[in-house]
Order: sequence, then C-alpha cells, then structure tokens
Amino acid sequence: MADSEKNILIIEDNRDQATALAMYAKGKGYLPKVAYDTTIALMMLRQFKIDLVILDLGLPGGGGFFVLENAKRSYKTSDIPFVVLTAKIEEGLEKKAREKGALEYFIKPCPMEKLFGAIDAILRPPATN
Amino acid sequence: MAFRTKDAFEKELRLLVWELRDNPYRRFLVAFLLIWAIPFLTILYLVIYGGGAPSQPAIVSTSLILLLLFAISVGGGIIALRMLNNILDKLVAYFIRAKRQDELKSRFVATISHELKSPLMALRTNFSNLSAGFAGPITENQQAIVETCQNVIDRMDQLIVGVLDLYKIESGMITLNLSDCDAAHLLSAQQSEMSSLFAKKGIEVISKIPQSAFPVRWDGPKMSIVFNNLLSNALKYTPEKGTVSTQLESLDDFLKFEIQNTGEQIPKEHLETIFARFEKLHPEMEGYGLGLAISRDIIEAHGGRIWAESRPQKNSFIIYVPKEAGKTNG
Repeated sequence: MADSEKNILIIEDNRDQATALAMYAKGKGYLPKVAYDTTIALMMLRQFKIDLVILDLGLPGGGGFFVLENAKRSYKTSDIPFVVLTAKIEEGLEKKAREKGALEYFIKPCPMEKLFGAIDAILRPPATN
Repeated sequence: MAFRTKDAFEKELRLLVWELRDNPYRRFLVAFLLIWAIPFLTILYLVIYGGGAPSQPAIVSTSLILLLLFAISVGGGIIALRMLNNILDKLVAYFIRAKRQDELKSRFVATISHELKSPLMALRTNFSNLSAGFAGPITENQQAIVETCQNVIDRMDQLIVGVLDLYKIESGMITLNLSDCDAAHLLSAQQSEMSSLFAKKGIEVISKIPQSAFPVRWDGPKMSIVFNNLLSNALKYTPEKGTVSTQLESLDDFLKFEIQNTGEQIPKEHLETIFARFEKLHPEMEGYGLGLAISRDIIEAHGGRIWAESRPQKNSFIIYVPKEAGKTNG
C-alpha cells in the first residue's frame, strides 16, 4: 500500500486546529479525515478504513477517552494506533491514556515535526534489511 | 487538606463522623448518665432507707434538691453535646470547603491550560503549514517571519507551563511520583541533550559525573527539570568560550550536585532573590525568571536544599537532595 493511501482520522473539536492539522497531514502525504465530536468520530472509525487516529482528549460528547475505550473494545477498530494530542496537563493523564491503548502522547503546542515524526514511525516504519 | 478523588473524600468524611460523633457521642452520653445517675440513686436510697427514721419533710427536701441538681446537670450535658455537635458540623463544613477548593484549583489549571495551549497549537500548526510550503510557496523573508512567530509560540508555551507548574507546586497539587532511578543518568541525559548548544557557544563543559550508577528514589522527570533549568541558566549566563563544570557526589544519605560557570559574578545581595519567581538578574535576557523558583520548589519537595554561591568571575549552584526523597534522617 502506498503511503498516500494511509488514512489519518483527526478527532479535534477546535475547527481551526483540525483544519490546520489536516492540511499538514495532507502535505505530508496522508489522507486526513476530520471528526469534531465523539459520535461522528466513532461513526467514522467504523465506516472508513482508518490507519491512525490523532485524538484530542477534551472533546464534547464524552471526551477523548470515551472514543479510545470504545475503539479498543471493538474488534474492528482495536488495532488502530491512537496518538493523543491534548492541551490538558493533569498529572497521570498520560499514564491513563497509555493504559487505555494510546501509542503516543503529545501536549499542545508540540512541534509538528515531533508529532509527525512519531506518526511516520508508526505508519512508515523504516524497511528492515 | 486535599483529596484526590471523591471516593477518598467521602471515606475520610464518614470515618471522621463515625470517630467523632457516633462512637464517642454515645459513650459520652452513657457515661454521663451513669456518673450522675449512680450517686443520685445511691443517695436517694440512703436517704429513704438508710437513715433510720428521718422526718418526711427532710426526705422530700433532700430529694428535691438532688433532683434539681440532676436536672441542671442533664441540661448542662445536653448543651455540651449540642456544642460538640456544632463543632462536628463545622469540621464537616471545613472538609467540604477544602474539597471544593481542591476541585476549583484543578479546574482552574485545566481551564487555563486548555484555553491558552489550544490556540497556541492552532497557531503553531498553521505556521508549520506555511513554513513547510503546504499552503503554497514561501519566500525566504516570509520564512524568517514564520520562524520568529514560532519562537514566540515556544516562549509563550514555556511561560504557560512555568506559571502552571508554580501554581500546582504552591497549591500542593503536584505530588511526587517517586521511583527508583539513577541520578547520574538523569544528569547525563540532560547534559548530552544540551551539548550541541554549549558547543555552539564555544563553552567547555567539564563533567565530573562518575560512570557508576547513583541509585536514588526521586521523581525522575521533575528532577530532570531541575537539572535542565540549571544547565540552561549556565548556558545563558556563561560568556562565549567560557567554562561550565558539573559535579555529582554521594555524601551518606544525600547526593550533592554542583554546577559552576564562569561569567559575571552574581552580586551577594542577589544570591537569594534570584530564586524568587519572575526575578531575573538581567531583565534583557531570554526567559521569565521562573526556572530557579520551580527548581527550588521541586528540590524542597524532595526534602533537599538549593542555593547559589558566587566569587569573582565564577558562580555556582549547589543542591543537596536525599537519596530517598523526603528521608533526611536528621
């Protein structure tokens, strides 16, 4: 599968942020899709073939953990890697997110090179041999 | 008083009420009645049956006096119990207020963090789109402007994180997550992360960190912040071609870390004030003057001490931290 076919679902309620992230993901050669709340996010996760999720935790309709828990419970979506991107800096939040299945955790405003470095490492691992 | 969860708070409250009200309250009531009832009944018995043949009015008057005394005592007891109840109610109200304040603090930090950091992320992503050319070609001049804006975002982020860290430390919201770690590794990691910046300024770094492990029980990430702050300060205040030396040594239950740098001497009168928040020796320098304040808070939370010393053309920062945080053994 070519890189350009990798779908990234951006779950982010801040529309400015979501649009900018989608533009960056597109620039990096991914196919971004955007969901602004948990209901739409869960629907899109089931409806489309998503290769990776960028998840905001402070979402309307149950919050990011609700999406993460639901996705990890369903056999159809349990293997999708989740990268958390949040502005929350509460103690123990990263541990909780990782325990619930998030692969990476970034606090806003993290540099895009760092965020997409991690995403590239997940979706485009360097070829062995 | 700070409760981390609703359950913990309710459990604590129930325990308090049981301890102070239910249990001793009943015991006190029974003991009170027994103390007064037993002598009263004994005297009454003696007056009626033990005194030979006393006259009828004497029995009546003695009984009335004792009855009156008993009534007064019971009344006094009830008032005392009501006072005890009031005190308990106040204590319960205090606990509820403490819990609300704790919740308010958490909400304040969460809100400030979210409201300030989210727009910064939107800005950063948009500038990254411009810089990477994802929004169309960009000229060299435009690129320079975008980089300046990104640096401003970095500085604002540092300020937000610093202020929130201080707030959390001072309001007791930061708890140390202690784990077994290696102090030498924590320090070396920070040093190697910054080595290119020191090299860029032509600063020689002399490191006296033993190769062997320095096992400690600290909050590793928070102590890394301290090392990073001190190294960043040394980088900022050491002139080009200067020298920075770091030393780590074990002293019984403590670890001593010293960082020394060449450069303008910190005036004696500023050796203490530089640890105050938003205090900077040179206001024109980059930063917000929060690093040393945060470092001191973290060190003190571990049960250690940090201070500065200065000599002509040389300044040092010295830290003593117990190997097991909070354990000082006198």
